[in-house]
Amino acid sequence: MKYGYYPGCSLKGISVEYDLSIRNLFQRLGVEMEELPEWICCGTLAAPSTSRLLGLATPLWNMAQAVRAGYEQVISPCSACLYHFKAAQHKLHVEPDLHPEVEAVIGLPLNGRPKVVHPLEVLSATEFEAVIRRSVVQDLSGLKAVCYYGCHISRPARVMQFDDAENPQSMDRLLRWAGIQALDWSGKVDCCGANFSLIKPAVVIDLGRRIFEAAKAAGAEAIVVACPMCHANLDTREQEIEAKFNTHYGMPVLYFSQVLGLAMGVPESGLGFRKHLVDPRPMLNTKCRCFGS
Amino acid sequence: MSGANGKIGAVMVVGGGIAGMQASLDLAESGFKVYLVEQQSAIGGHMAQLDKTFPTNDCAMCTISPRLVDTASHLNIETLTNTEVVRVDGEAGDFSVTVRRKPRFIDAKKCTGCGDCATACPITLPDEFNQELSSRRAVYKLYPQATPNAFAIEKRGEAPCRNACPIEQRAMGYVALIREGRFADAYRTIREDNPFPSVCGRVCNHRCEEACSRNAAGSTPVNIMQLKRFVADWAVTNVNSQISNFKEVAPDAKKVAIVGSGPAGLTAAQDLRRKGYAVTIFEALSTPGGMMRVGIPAYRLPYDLLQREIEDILSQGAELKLNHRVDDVPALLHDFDAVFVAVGAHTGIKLPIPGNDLPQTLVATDLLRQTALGASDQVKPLITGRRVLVLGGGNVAIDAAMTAVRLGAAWVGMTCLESREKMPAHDWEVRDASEEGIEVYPGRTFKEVTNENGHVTGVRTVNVNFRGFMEGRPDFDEIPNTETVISCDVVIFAIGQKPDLSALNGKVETIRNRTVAVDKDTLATNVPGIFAGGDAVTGTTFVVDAIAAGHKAARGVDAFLTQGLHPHVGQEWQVWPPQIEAIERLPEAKLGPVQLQQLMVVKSQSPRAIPVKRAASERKHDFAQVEAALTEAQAIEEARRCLECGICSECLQCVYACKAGAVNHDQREETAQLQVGAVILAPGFGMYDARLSPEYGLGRFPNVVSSVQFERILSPSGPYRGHVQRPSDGHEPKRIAFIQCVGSRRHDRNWCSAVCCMYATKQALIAKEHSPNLDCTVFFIDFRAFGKGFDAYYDRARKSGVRYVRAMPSAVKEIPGSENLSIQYTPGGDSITEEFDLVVLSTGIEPPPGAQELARRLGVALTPEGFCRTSPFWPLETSRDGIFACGPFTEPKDIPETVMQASGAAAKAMSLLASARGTLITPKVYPPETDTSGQEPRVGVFVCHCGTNIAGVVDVKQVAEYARTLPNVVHAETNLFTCSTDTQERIKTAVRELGLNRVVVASCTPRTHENLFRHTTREASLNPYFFEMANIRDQCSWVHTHQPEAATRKAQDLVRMAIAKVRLLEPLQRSSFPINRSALVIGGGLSGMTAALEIADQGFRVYLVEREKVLGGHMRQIHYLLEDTDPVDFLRGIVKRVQENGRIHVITNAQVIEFEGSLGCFKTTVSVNGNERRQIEHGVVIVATGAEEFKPSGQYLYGQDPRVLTQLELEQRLASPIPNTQYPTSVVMIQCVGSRDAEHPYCSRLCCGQAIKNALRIKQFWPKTQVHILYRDIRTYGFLESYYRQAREAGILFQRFEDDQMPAVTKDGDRLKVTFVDAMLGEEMTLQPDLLALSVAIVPRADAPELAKMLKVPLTQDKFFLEAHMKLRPVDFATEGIFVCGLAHYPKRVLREAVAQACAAAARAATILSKEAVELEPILSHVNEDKCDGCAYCVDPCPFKAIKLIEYQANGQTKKRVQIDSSACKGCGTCQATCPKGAVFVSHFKLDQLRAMVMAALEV
Repeated sequence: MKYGYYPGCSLKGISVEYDLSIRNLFQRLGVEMEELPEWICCGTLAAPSTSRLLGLATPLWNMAQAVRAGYEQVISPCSACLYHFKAAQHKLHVEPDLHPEVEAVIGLPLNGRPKVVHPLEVLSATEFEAVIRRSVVQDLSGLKAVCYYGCHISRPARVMQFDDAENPQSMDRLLRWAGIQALDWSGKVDCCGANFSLIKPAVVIDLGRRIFEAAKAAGAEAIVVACPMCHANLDTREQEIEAKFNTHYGMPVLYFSQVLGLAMGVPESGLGFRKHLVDPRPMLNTKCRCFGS
Repeated sequence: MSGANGKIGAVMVVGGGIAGMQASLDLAESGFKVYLVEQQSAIGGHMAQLDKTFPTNDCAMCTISPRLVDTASHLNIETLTNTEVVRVDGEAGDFSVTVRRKPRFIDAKKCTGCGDCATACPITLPDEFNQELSSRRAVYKLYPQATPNAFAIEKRGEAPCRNACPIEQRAMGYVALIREGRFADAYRTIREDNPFPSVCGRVCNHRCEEACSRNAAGSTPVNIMQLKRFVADWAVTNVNSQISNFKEVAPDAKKVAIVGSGPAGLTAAQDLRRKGYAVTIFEALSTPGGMMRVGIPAYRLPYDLLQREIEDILSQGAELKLNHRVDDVPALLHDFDAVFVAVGAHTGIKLPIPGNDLPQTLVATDLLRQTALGASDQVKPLITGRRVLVLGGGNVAIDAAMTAVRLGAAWVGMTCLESREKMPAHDWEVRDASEEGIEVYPGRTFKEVTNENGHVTGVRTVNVNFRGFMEGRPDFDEIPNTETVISCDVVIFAIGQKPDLSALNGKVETIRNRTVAVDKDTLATNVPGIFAGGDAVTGTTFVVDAIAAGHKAARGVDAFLTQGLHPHVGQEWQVWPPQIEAIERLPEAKLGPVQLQQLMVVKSQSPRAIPVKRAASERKHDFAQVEAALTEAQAIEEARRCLECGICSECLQCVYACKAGAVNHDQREETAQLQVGAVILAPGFGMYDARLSPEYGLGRFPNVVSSVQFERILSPSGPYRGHVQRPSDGHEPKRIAFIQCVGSRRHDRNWCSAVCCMYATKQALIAKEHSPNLDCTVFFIDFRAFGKGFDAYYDRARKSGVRYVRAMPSAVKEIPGSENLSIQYTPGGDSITEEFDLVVLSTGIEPPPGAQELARRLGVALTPEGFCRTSPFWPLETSRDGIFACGPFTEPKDIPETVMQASGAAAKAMSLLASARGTLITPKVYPPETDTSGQEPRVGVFVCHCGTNIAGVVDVKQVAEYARTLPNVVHAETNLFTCSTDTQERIKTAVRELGLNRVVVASCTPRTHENLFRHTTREASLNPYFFEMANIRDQCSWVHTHQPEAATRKAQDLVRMAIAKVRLLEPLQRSSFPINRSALVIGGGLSGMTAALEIADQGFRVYLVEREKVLGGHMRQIHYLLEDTDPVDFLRGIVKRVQENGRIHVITNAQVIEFEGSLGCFKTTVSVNGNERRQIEHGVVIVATGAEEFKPSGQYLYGQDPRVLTQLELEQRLASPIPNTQYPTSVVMIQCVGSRDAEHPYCSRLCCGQAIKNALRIKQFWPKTQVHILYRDIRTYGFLESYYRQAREAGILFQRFEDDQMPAVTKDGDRLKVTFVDAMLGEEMTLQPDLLALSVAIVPRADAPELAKMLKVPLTQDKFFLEAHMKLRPVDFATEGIFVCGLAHYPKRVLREAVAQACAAAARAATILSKEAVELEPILSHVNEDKCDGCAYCVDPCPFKAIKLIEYQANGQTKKRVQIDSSACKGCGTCQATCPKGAVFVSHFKLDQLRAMVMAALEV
């Protein structure tokens, strides 16, 4: 089956390395996906707070595109996009009367309900275990990481219907299959501060600090994430946090697709590590000598 | 079987917890046969897991263990453990219940609970009883005091490895033993099924490994074969031969001849010898072993090892005749009773191709045999330096090729039909061969052996497309133009072998003259008496199959020789073989994917151990072994990889260890039909699995535990022996947090579990008792201390420093490093984060596991939540007539209410089956007693080993010898288990034959065993009180484990004391007096009427005394319920039933004024209509006098403003309002008016529900009316919680005020004004309601103290009647024959709770009324009237108020002395201790008897 791929704005902007590494990883694993034609903004926070209908129309327009292009499943690597798609579908499901209204706005029929999935959901399925184990070419068993899921991958549980909302496991499992030490910790689903980054950075700095502290206490050398927002709030604020609290973490924040890609021999150019503010390469070099100095 | 009206006088109780035991005991005591069905291996239920119980802090185990003993020893209770109900047919009064009894694998009657089996068991499992905080063995006793006191074996099924093995070798068994380093035991386990461990440890095709569950888990199998070899090799140096099995051949033993000494023959020989037959083995060759000896090359199986195993077999007495070829098998029947033909398949086959007869063509079997027999001189010259080609691709071909290599061939090749992948030889064998330079030419057919001058030059082959064998013939196509000649000097055919069957003389049927035809179960041939097996029957196959054939043949021969021939019809061959009763095999223990995953995580991650092989270059020059054995460390590590699929490994070590012979691995599931008249369901409850609330981290963070786990942590018998410590590091915690409502009060679990607030408080208190500086914090929503004594207990906890925080933490986080836990909570506005060392989750109650299935099987309805559906009026009845329910299965509840319901359900069954009472019970009958008066004491002493429990420390033989030296002792012996059934017979025989008249047993504790030995003494025609017990286990061997010599001396002391006392004992007789079989019920409310009806329905007379003119009491003021049912109509029905019941005498307008007498013969005087006196004689009393509504006169403007009402008054108004008429726009309700204050410090329990009921009623009529309920804690326990939710959803506003800030009610002009501080907002608020309802307290009747004094029963501080025991005797008083129910006991819901309690009182009363007479225990206090001077020192200390001071006239003087009421006396002896004159004494513990013991103790 070929997946539709919805990168969303982040993966075309601040998180191009996520986009790059996802595409390369999936190619390496033989999972086919194609960017949705004519995709538009998922609506993010702005649309629903402007108008209820707009908040439904933007995600469902994308879904209608997916149906038109014949995709049964759409991969959405950004947790926020993912949430907006699932939430809109859920809303329509519990309130079927909204159908004509939304159809009228988007000018497309709402037939079919493509399944929107996070890449973690695709890869952490049991049948991928063997594929992933087989594809590992780089020994990363020295790498100790904590998986940071943030909020929307599995919450609200009723809508997202994926993984455990309180103690998610999918990313940990994936990393372990790839031979990486995924440590258990208590910060998995803590809040990164999300959009407060823009309006009240102090909140994000405080929450970010808690996450770094917890990761450090757990013995992690890196935080592995699966959401551009989480990544932005941690990676871009890390030095700020260090400065404010007069401490030092130097802890890289990596996308799961980057570490998996690394384990599977995707070259550095295909993973985009240079995009990070906290350069992970010196640390990773101590694990696998995969980068030039 | 059945009594009157076709009813059956037996009841089945499902569930052996406290409810099940209570119901069983009540029923059995009142004349019904009881089947107590329990799923687990012991009764006791959840209560046995608890440490202490609230609010009395009694030890739970101490409280229930007498119940356990009573239940287990009751003559009319049959306890069926490991049993479940399958279906119930029939109807109320006459049910047929099908039950399935799972095997326990231990005969509970023989098991003495000594635990030797558990010590021997190699399998360790998490102990569920200790909530997986500790481990137990696969053979286990649920808990130390488990009843029945017997072990059980847990099996999932037959392990796949054993299941796959032709001889059912217990692979998992010896693997487990190897893991434990118990190699000798492992060897014994192997030998159990296999006489050739060395052989099978080397050359087996190990189907066990193919079946190993590790394969399914994507791993490699356990290297079972190498483990076997390891043990076999270890045994060579460490274990002596097994000659211990030698059994003399009886002169008249039947004789069996065995032809062939291969694995089949030798195995059969061993088995038949063990069965006692005389066995002769005939072997044609010069050495025994068959193909093992001459077919398997020495580099794979050294001959000396084989020889050793053969000698082990022969040493058991079979005769072996070597060089003895049998030419006529049938002729052997002249000299033998049976013959087993196991000649093997030694004749090699050559292909019929040109050149096959050239001198350089050999068959593999000849090559191998000659090499093996040391005759290599004959073949060696042929091979050495030559080019050898082996034709064939099987294991034999490989053996031949490798042998050729070792004989010095210049080149060796192999060619075969099959492709390389499909070669029948194992892949690794082919690889080994390649390593040794053997070239393989697969996929060819052989056309000709080419020659030059009669000398072989090669084999002409053609490549083929081989597809397999069709009906024994190869199916292939030749590939054109592929003909080649493989050049060689010698050709060895290894294409198959066949047996030489010439000795059968054509009389024994064969299949195409290639193999012998046999019956598959017995291996019998068509000739009676001749059996055949092994390769001779199957064609060439593996050693293990031949061993299997040997076993089978032995069974067949034995069946034939013991049963003879079955009659056969004509010459029909199939009909005659004897029948072998096969033991049904356990189903294979197949692990599901989830189980596999879980096990793979916890079991060893090591890779499969591979033994070291000698390098090809080295090994190809000699016949020494190729493979080394695993090292000891490797073997243990490899054994750790076993997933233990079967749970029990069936290693049989328990069988060897059990001295009582109680273990039986052959037990299988049984189904039985039981006839009963009624069924009581008491399956208990389940605990919410808090792993389903992952935010709290149970199962993830070691220091987060569930409440049951914490209960076990607190328990002295728990995993840490009562030391409060953290699971992660064993440190004592300093800060513990309790989180309430985990799994309760949620939208998807819409009930309150009713017990958690109290048990958390108890746990906090007890934990603080363990370490006083401990900080305990309880996070809660509402504190629900609604039961009797609960609020006082809550207060006590707060005063002891337990901190209560009204906040619900949303998550628990672990702090790395310390493994402490951090909790963030928001008590008011600000969020607080706190650190704790241990977090206890107060997990809720849920329906018992399997409730759905149980309900389906029984056809009873459940609520949507999965609890048993009952109605407010009929709280004990399920939806199916004749099936009753009790305990938390009907709604979450605590122990006392559970016990009440259990007794209540018993009453329901008794009423239903009243006509069949007494029809199925067994009375105990004893022989007449021997008169021993005037005889010298003749004492017999029986000293118990208790397995190793006593004998492991105390030298019991020495104790017995010592006892023999003591005065009056005529006999002393030791017994393995003095309590076993056979020892009881020994004791009786000893009494009879030696003329004993006193019995002393030195063993365990009288608490559990005295009754047993008294029965035995009585059955030996002696007075049962001529028995005395010395506790040399609990009080000696157990506490002095490390001082055996001192312990032995102490045991002697104890025995000497017992003998000193027994010599002075006197015969005692039980006295009895008749019972007046009628009851007095005081109070005609719903409780009183219900009790009266239940008793009357059982056929007894009832006097129902009511103070008012009409019946109904408090219930008359109830007009509607939360549930949609009509209480008014119900009450009318009950009153009518009471009035129309001919056995109930209703006396209204009457008051009790005088009361006297005791159990069975009470006399009560009532005054009727204020002037008329009437005396009633009765056997029991039930107090059901109810309680009253508190009238808060003068408070909250009550009585001053008509708009201020009590809830009952409001209910009156709401009973029939006119909708849409003038309605209040605002109603305020104030909770706890008069409750939980200084005057009435208790919770009135029903007011929260009442307020919600009335509030919902208001909302129902006038949805726009605003209703505020001002409260402290909303205590909607159990299912009431759903109405609380409903009320909130209906828009009723609940506002909390602090305990010390009761709202104020004033008037603002004409308007009512309620002012209070909202605890949530912290702000003062004012409401101006149109109506103010006060939820007033329930208070005891003003005359309760007076009645209590008359009945001589106690009251609580709050003036409610005080029962005998808060937990387990909730309706009994300490004074026998008097019971309590309803609101007189404590506030409770009139329906459901009071009704159930009334039924319970009726059941308790029936246990007395059902008897003609009461028997009195003769160990009682007596007064020596001459010595007593009436000082009355003894009167007040008597805890049973059994002693009174009386005056009497003697010699014209008024004198005083005490008198003892025997019916009240319990023989405790307190009085004896107080008497300065020695005038009061307790029989059986008289001063001289005790003095003799003391003197004996001091003597040496």
